[in-house]
Amino acid sequence: MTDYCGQLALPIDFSVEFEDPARMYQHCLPQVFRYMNSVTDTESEILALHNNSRPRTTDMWETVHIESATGAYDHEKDILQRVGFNTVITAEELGEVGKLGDFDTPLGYYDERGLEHFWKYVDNTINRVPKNRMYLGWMSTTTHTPFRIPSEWNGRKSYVWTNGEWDSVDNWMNAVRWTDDKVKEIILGFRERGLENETLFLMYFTLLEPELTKVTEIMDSHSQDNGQHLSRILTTKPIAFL
Amino acid sequence: MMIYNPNIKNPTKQKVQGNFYSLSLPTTILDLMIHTNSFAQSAQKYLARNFAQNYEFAQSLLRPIKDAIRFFFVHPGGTQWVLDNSKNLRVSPLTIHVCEPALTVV
Repeated sequence: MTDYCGQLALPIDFSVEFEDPARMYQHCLPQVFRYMNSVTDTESEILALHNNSRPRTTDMWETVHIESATGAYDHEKDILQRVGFNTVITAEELGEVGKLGDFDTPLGYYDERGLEHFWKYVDNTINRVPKNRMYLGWMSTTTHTPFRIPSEWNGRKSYVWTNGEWDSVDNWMNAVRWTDDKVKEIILGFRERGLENETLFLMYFTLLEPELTKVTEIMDSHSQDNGQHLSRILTTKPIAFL
Repeated sequence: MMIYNPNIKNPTKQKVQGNFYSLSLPTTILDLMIHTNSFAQSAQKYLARNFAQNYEFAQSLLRPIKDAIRFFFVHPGGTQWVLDNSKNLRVSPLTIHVCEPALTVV
């Protein structure tokens, strides 16, 4: 809610932030992009909108959130839909569509598996006519405990001296390194598709500063209650720059 | 936060240093898209600008600092206020139209 809506989490039990007495008191970015589908400069489209005769066809925005983690925890999928995303794809959808079977990790599937569907979605969208603009979010959960990385990844190395005591820190740093590789892979994927120039990539890591100061404490306790250690990548396309 | 597009040039790899709230992300993204002509239609650009200016704590990393003392509700309908010196916020200055008629009375 911070990233998409500019508001802090509401103090509501069980994170049911979209039901009374909670109130999401301002618009979230996906909602803003959806509103944009109802405004236009084109005279014929203004008339069509006024008469409800046909929907707009130019410069439409699609809003999509994709992640390979479960959307069932703490009403996450419900919240994302309420935030305004037209399409929300989480581990449950990946399992259903991709017939992936049991989760790979306690969170859902490896991000590697989720990315396969990410690219399928991107390719289907850009091949569609008319070509819509897209506000697309991809959330990695590899940097969330328990920091599980597919065994076939050959980039693993030891960043800290370890005798077992610091394994969790080492795992986390490898997870960050893995995520860096994926960011590169995503940007190159857009480049191969001819979309890099017209895409604005926003990358942020939601590890809060107070947590950084006690990161080892968090890692050692393996606690999942000390914040969201997730990476997000937001992309929009096509996008024109001066 | 990192922003990337091949057309954004930063040869000196300059970083923006500051104490920013992550709450500024939506406003910053909208401001950035307005600035880069990312909206094809002026109606969409106008809508984006309106949203960007009206977020609570609508600080954006792109807007110039305007010195002013400003008051915010902690939450709408609540009783607690936040007093802000605008140093860490980047929004359009607050205009209090109510005061203007009183000042012009002769």
